[in-house]
Amino acid sequence: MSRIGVFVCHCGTNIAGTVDVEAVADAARQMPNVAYAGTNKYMCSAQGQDYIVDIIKEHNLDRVVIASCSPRMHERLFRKVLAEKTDLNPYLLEVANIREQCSWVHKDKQIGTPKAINLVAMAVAKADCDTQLFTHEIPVTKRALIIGGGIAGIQAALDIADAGFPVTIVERKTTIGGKMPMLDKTFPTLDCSACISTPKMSECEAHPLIEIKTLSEVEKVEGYIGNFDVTIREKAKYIDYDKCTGCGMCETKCPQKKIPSEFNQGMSTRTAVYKPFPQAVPSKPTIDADHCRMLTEGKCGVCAKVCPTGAIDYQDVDRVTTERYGAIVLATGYELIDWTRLYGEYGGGRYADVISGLQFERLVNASGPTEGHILRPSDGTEPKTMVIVKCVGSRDPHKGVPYCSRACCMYGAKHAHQFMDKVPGGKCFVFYMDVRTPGKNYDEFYMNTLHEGARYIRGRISKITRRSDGKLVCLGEDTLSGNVVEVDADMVVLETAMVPPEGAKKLAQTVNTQLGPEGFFTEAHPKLRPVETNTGGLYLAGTAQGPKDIPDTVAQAGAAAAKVIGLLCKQSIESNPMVAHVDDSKCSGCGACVDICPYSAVTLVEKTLRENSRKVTRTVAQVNEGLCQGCGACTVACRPGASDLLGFNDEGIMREVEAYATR
Amino acid sequence: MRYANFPGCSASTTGKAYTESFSYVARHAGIEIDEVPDWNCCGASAGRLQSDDLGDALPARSLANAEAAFGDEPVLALCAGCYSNLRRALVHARESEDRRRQIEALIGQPYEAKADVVCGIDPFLEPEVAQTVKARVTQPLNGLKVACYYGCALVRPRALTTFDDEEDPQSMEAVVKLTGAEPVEWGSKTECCGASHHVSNPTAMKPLVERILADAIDAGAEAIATACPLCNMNLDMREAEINKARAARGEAPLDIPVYFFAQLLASAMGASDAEAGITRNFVPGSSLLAEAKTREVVVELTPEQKKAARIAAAKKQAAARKAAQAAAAAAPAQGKEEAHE
Repeated sequence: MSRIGVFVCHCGTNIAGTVDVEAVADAARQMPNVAYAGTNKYMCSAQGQDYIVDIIKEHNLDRVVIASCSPRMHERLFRKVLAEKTDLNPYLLEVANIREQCSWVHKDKQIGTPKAINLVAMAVAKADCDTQLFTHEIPVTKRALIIGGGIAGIQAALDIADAGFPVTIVERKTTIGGKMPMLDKTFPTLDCSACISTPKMSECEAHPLIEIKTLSEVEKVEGYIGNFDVTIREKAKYIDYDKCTGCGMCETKCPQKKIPSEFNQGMSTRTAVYKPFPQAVPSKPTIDADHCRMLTEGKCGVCAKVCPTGAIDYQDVDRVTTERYGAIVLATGYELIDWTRLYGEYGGGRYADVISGLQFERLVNASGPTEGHILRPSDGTEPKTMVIVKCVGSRDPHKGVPYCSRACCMYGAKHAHQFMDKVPGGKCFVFYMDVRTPGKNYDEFYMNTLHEGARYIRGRISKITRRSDGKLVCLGEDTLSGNVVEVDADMVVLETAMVPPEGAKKLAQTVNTQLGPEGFFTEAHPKLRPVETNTGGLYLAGTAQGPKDIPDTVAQAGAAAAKVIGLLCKQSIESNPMVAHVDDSKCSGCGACVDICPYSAVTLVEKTLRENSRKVTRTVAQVNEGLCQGCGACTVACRPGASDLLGFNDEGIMREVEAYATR
Repeated sequence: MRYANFPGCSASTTGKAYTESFSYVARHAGIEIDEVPDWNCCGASAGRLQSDDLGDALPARSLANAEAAFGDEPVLALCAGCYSNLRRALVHARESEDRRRQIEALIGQPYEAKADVVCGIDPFLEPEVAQTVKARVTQPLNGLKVACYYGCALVRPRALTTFDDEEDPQSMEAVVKLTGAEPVEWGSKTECCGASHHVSNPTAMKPLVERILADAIDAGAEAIATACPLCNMNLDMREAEINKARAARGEAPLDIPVYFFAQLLASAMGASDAEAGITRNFVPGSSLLAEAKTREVVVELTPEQKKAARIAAAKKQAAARKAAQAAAAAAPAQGKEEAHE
């Protein structure tokens, strides 16, 4: 016979407005096992907490039901109160959500009060079944892994390493840096993007606690928060970095010179042995195995002949290593949508002078293919009229993606400004759906671009055709005046949507976390836990979580780093005791739980059990308590009912249902 | 391949040339054609405006007749308007079982919506038919620059037509290439020709036609190919009028013949102008095709052939250089010898 105390919160008028809290307390007093029921204006306040503690002691309570807001809000707080100020085990607590699921969704007390009473009755019934649960300590490996070496990954790596913890950056490309060094200027301050990002790249390279693995990908992740065993494949670079001095002789002599440069977005060429750009980190070249003559045809070998240190190694192979990390940050960034596949009306990529925003960044950059002169890719002349089309792919559920890519309004305004700045007398037309410029000094920047003479036309381009004189005829509608607009442009810049990078889905499966419907990684809570994932020890930084601009990316990377540092600072962490538990005597070893577990926390093991006073060895399921996130999927899949979730045991749930059904 | 042909009202009137040329090509390319028995108006001009039910019932009745007679044999609609309407009924019937039953009740006969509806271009996208056509092209239109014009009803809306790309379709180009002609890339291939305003508001329609003709010429086209009787009539018939107006404004005429793509196929396969219906065209179209057939064939080299040619040229150059060096070396010696003498 338990002694349950029921504490009903007014939450000001949040609950008391549509629920008669005194009536709820009165009803609770009649419920079985309830030894006390009372109300308080704010149960979460210091005074409310003291009230709970006093009553528990005064009435010698052994179970507590708090009828208040969602357990996601304050359950942890109330558990802490029980643990620190009373002798009660903190898991002998039930929270009945009579705010989000009751008072907020109903309009009058006629409906709200009986529903709140039902919710409290269910919690009381379950509380009677609650058992004491105890956490245990998990050791923490004091190293962090960053997946993705763009500005988000770099910032997180520097912050964590500066706090004194070793960091490994795994980058898929040949250099870290990501997209930021490709950009010319950053809005709204117009400072040089490469000048502020490349020093951070070299800082990473020079940092004694940061290890950089380029051309590498994460293949397998096992383990759990504090102890992830990560298998990394470092692809063959065909160059011995211990010998290579980065002199660049191989690059100048390589006969394969016609490969489109990824860094310059296909607007210039590179060699097969190459460094994507001068400030690349590591500042040593790699051989592109798909284009190298020696590696594809078996003849050439020029780079090996000219290398003064003998660093070229055509026999190089992939290296696979497995190491242990305490925390992982996903900073995998974004890609731009492939508009050529989707927008036949914009020429589908057949017109050389219809370019993407990133191509424009390279065109206008002093280290770009045209040394910073804005010249048309088709004939190398200076365009006098430029059209910018925003939201290409973004906010277009029919062809592209439904969401807004957030940064395009600002870099679109920046492109317009740069064009008018570099081309005297140039005319710039910007076709837009909306102009969204929330951010410090953002709207001022946009207004400035307007005052400089950029012509903003509200409407989308319906068609771009190329006339024989080379002009791109842009047909669109000015939806403010209702007129059809036709612009003869020399060049068109499409500000395309940010989409998740290729392989995000595979990585999500590898690291056991979720993607949203649009393919970006899902945060644990959109407002209160924006850099955490639902998997312990796994954090998000930058556009891996959704489209954002550089300031937001860097801020989020810093936040993720703070979370990682907070974790790595601890000698050990407390495990969550509300995990699955298998009753060996009932388990048949069918493995249904193994298949259904989204966290790979259940395995089948051979166990020697004592059954009917005999020793029997058979296969049973075993739960790794570090990996288990307490989702309960296995308890549903388990046919003999061997798997049970501590804190949500089958009996408790059944008693809840009964309590509701019998009222 | 067998098709159940839905002729529609244009087959023997405005689109007679399309019917004639298509029949010629079909006969010679192994496309067998049945006629949908007791077909009726597809409802293009007014059916759907009256009611959605009428809009579905009119085409569905003909489709049900085709199904009763020929099972799941695809229904061929040469006219783009018929194509669009037949497809709408088909898509609606396939979309929901409820709608299909409603349609059956409306037309009072069973309709399973099994047979597909295809347009005039589709049969030639079948690889074996394309191969037969290619083999039968005896008088290729060598390098004739053709602007393929699709108009609206063939390609839009995508939910109905499932064309390759509603903004930049390429299937007519693939068919026209079979004749040896060279389709040009241009931007007005799916622009509106204004056919709906043909009678009611010609002043609104004419600039649209003029733009299409001008764009085709600007893209370097010598001819326009169409796959819709209404588009064809609109472009072909209005050209003279437009040129008259242009002359009054002191502008150069837009001189470009307009063919059905099937006319180009038929002509290249050896049909006479009468057999291909070319004599029916408003803008005379015989002489251009005759002239194209006499053009020299430009063979496009494969990359390997190009490489081989480049190597051969380089070798020839190297040999010439060596010979020149040898000659230069011999020349002073000769001179010395002469001096010695």
